[in-house]
Amino acid sequence: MNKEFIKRQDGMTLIELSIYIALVAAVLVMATSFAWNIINSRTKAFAVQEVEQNGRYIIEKFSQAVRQANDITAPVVSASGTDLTLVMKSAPVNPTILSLSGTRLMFQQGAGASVALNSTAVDVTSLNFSNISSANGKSKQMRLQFTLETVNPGSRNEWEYKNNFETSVELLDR
Amino acid sequence: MSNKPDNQSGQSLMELLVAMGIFVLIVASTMFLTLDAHLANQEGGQRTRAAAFAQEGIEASKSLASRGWKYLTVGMHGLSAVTNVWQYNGSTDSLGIFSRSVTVTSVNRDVSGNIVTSGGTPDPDTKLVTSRVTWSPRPNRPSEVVVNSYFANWKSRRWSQTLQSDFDAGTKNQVVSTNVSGGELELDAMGGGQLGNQFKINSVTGAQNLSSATLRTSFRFTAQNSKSVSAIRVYLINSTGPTYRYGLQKDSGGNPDGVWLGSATKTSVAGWQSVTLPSAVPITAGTTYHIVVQYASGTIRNNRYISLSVSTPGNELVPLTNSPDLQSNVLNFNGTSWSLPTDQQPIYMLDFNDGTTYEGNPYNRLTENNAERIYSTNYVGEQFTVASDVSATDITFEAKKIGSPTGNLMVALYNVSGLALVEQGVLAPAALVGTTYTAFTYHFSSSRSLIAGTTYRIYLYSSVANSTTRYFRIRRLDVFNNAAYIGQSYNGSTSLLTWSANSGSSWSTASVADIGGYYFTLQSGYQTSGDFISSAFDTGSASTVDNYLTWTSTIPVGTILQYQVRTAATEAGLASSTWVGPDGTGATYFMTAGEIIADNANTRWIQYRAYFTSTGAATPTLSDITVNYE
Repeated sequence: MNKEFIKRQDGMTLIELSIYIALVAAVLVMATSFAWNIINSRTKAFAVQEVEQNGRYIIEKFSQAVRQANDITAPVVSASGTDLTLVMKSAPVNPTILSLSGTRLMFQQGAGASVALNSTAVDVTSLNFSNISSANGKSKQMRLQFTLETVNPGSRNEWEYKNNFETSVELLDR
Repeated sequence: MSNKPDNQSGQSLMELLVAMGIFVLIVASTMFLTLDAHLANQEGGQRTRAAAFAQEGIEASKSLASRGWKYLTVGMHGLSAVTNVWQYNGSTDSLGIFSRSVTVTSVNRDVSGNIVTSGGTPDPDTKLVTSRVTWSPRPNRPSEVVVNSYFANWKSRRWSQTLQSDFDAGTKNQVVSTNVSGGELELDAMGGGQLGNQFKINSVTGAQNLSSATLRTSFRFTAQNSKSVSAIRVYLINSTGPTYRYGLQKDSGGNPDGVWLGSATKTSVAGWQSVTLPSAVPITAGTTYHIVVQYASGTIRNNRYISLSVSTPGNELVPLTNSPDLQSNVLNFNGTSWSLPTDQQPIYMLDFNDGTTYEGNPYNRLTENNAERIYSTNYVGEQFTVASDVSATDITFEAKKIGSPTGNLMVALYNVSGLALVEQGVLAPAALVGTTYTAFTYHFSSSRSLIAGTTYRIYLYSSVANSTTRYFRIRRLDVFNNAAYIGQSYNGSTSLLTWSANSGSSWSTASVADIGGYYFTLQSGYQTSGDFISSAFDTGSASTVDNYLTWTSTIPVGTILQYQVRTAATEAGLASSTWVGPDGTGATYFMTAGEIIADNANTRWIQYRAYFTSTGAATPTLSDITVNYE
């Protein structure tokens, strides 16, 4: 009985060790890839959030400015372009200009400083302001279409994110 | 001792497995949480863009409403800006993964003006716009953003017509304006009225005997035509007189003014005397004239004189049309002044110089022949047609009896064209019929339509045989058998005396005679159609958009009220533009209040037209009408 036990004890210990090492290795591999995934998805989430928040902010600023405008200087009716000039009712903010400078969408009110609406982390591309007012002046409406994409010099997949945005606003005060 | 290491080793393997299990569980749940967080993050971004996209649907609808309220057409739409302005196009449009639909719904309000989801009446000036953006973040996981907005038509203007004076500024055709509740338009009412020959003769007699050179007789009448009289005809009794002068004079205070418009002399002959005037005398319809007859030359004395035939009673109507002529009368001049005899009817004819037309009263005889006795199989009546469709409620005949007939005097209306008995019934029981002419009325069981172009026969018969000594009679009025006289009798030659000797199996007619003193009582009602063209309205701008037409009206059963509009750049241009309905063509009519007016290039001036239709029993009523424009 004792002899058999001792023999078995030795064999089991070796197998156990092998299994143990194999299992630990597997767990380490899993844990590492898991940690990597977590890091990547956190990066992606950041990219997504950056794009969406910039997009929302641009849409809000655009809507607010157009709603308060009296008239549209540029683009003219039925035309479109990357610069928008609004005639404002309130003198300090007249004119309000949204224009594209490189990949920055700039916002300038009256004599104030021109500030970028999008952060340096995202680029504005495919910007288009369309003046879709009616020819007889009964309706004045601006349409904004643009694309936001993350700045990604290394073309790394986890940083890659872009989206199209679109909205239109009818001028209220005229 | 030796067992311990065994137990220890076994336990550490189990612990490892348990630890690994726990570790895997933690990793897996953390992975799920991380993944979910990531997806939620992404979906949050999508939702932000979807909200902007949905808001664009509302803004585009604002643009459409600004351009013209009517462009907010009820239904589900996609949007398109290909023509550089927003248009509803198709039922959806899309941007990337997003699909958008803009739904315009009409809004109902209750009597207090509150918006209700069921019941109430549609408010053409409020619309509910729903912009819905849908997408699927993951397969079979649809998501949506819905933006609702109530739109009000606060900017447009109205052209309303509601007062009687508004409607009086337009052109009414068989339509009348009333002011029962602030000004309305209705179909013109047609007086109930009577249809038939109400001309009566109780006896034919002579006017005063012109047995002295100073006596004169005048037949006063109202001219029915504006024509020139070439000859005068009167009917003489006591015709053994000398030469008399016959001529026309104007009226002065009801009497002849003494100035001949034209006259001629003629020696007297019996019966109809035709006196040709030296030159035709023009007369004017509606003006009162006199035919004056007086002594001219020859021996005149007690047994050498004439007398003009007249009848009693004075009917004061024109036999041909049964239209009233209150001036119709016989006047006598006694040498110093004119006087009216009581209740006499002049018998005369005027020949016009076209040689084919006449006017006057040709009935010179009340005939009571054996053929018109009503008994046994002998029926008597009038065959006639009507000029326009009417509906009769009653029939009235004047009748009398000879001897003592029994049973009932019956009346029947027969459709000769359709060979069908329309209705028959008791006009009067014999006991009620007197020995002088008395009116009896039979009430039809329901209104009987008399259709234009159809020939009818209205006749009387006896319910029991009676005999040649006990029978009923109606008035037979006769004219001289000549087309000129027949043409001036009641309804000319379209109304004829008719009789049957064999209980109606076959009928005879006589154009020289009519039944006198019978008529249908017509149902009062309305014109069956009419229309109203409004005054023109200047909207003040060449870029006017006409939104819709709305109105308040009452539409009884059997009536229709519908509308069309026309627009033009100038007021003068309206006359040549086309009346159109909601589809922009003349083929359709506005029938539902609030219907959209189709786009048109020239819209500065606008005008509407209301079409009234009825079965005649009731009229649609237009209380007010509004054109909404901006």
